[in-house]
Amino acid sequence: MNQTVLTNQELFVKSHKRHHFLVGFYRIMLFVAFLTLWEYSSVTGLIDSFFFSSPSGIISCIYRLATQEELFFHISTTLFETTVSFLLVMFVSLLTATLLWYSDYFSEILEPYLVILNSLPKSALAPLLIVWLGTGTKTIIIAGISVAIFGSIISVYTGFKQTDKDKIMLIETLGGNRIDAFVKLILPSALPQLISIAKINIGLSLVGVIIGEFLAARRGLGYLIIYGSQVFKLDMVISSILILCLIAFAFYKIIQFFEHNQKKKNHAPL
Amino acid sequence: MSKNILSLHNISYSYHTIQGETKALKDISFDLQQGEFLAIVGPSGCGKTTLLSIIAGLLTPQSGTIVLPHNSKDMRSSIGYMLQRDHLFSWRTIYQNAILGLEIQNKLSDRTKAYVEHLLEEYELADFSDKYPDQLSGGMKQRVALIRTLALNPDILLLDEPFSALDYQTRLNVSDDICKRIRKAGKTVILITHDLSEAISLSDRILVLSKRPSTIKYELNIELDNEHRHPVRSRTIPEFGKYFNILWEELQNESDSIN
Repeated sequence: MNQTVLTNQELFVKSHKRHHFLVGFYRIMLFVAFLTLWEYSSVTGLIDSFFFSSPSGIISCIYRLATQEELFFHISTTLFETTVSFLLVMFVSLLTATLLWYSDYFSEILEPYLVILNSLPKSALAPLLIVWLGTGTKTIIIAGISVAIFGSIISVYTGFKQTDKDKIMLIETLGGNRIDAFVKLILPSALPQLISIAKINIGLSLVGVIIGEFLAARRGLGYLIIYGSQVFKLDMVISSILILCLIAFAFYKIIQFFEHNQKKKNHAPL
Repeated sequence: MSKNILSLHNISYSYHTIQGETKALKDISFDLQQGEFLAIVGPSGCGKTTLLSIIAGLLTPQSGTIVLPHNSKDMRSSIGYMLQRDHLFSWRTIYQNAILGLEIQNKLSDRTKAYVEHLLEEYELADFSDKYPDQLSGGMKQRVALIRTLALNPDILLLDEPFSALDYQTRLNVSDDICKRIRKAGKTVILITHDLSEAISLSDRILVLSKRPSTIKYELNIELDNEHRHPVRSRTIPEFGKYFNILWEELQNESDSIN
């Protein structure tokens, strides 16, 4: 009897491992097939490599950018601007949402303004920001913030408001005030939501920073893309976009790492 | 001999909305004696929870006064309020949940921590100190909630249908267990319940509230010896049926007059 249980367990583990291996394998295969098809089409002239580039063209372009055109300077500029605007978005929206939660009066007054500002297409603000603030790093960071901030405030505030009213009453029965409720209850129970909001914010900050760099920068990946398209160096444009993909992926993974840690720590089901 | 530990004089309370005023409580007065176990029953929505919230100091009565004769401690810390559901925090261990009240009131010390550990031991939860609430049964969680309340060492315990979230069998066992422990600890208790059997088997005195606006309609002293203070065994003695019928009649009159 014990033997069969063990074997079934082993079978399960085996099929589980096999499943994971196959998923990973097909993921890589899909990528390789895509690259092969792309390279083949551009070499045989099915697509015009001037417009669509090719994997080998991109590799040599990235190599050239890295050795001759300070690629890392552009990457680190974009990374820096995105990180700063992400951190500021998180900080400001936590602070504002806390105030909104603390005072119902305050949140009732501000609600329509937040909704309007959130539904506004934020890229429309960019030209105004350039006139107000010039074309420096500050403008780019503000552009990054402007895209994410209002939605973030609303989501964090909603997260805070979702807490069970009876649990707040529990804090009151134990003699706690609103600050106790916030520290002991609201903040820890909203933590999973804060992490998903962070995931969205880092993506939006990146979008804002790239929009900013399109319009007002002399450095950064957004600048490389706009510059590349103006001088018809489409290799450069596609290479920059690929690097952006990698950056977005890396940011996502970093936050996912925090998410896993938090879930493990808080004993929530993964 | 026994002293009043709590007195309510003509407590009234109303809820207000744009549509109008709802009178919840009207001229409620009663005294509670040291060590007494008082049960309050009444039709649904008659304001029992409002009454507890007022006693706990969460709501301010619109008129009337509450007197705590031994005003050595402030009101909040001399009264412990246990809610219907356990509301344990899933991100805290059992021990961390148990010390929540002490944390909030800045009363964590070696002495109070030792007291919580002693309570966990006594309630057979010591082995679960480092576990999380989702690893415990409903009855165990309710015991943790009680320890969280007892950790602040209140003189008076307010229990708002504390067993209603449990299934029937667990409920009988847990209510018996918890109430025995509370009696042993010499606490004064106000219990709100829908369950007449629970009220009879656990309490010394039962107040029947009328429908809204609630007044005290009837008061019944329960005289059972300790052996019969058990949710199942109490049913075997003749007084139980007598008490039950009296309460049933009183409540039935109330619901009739609603219809």
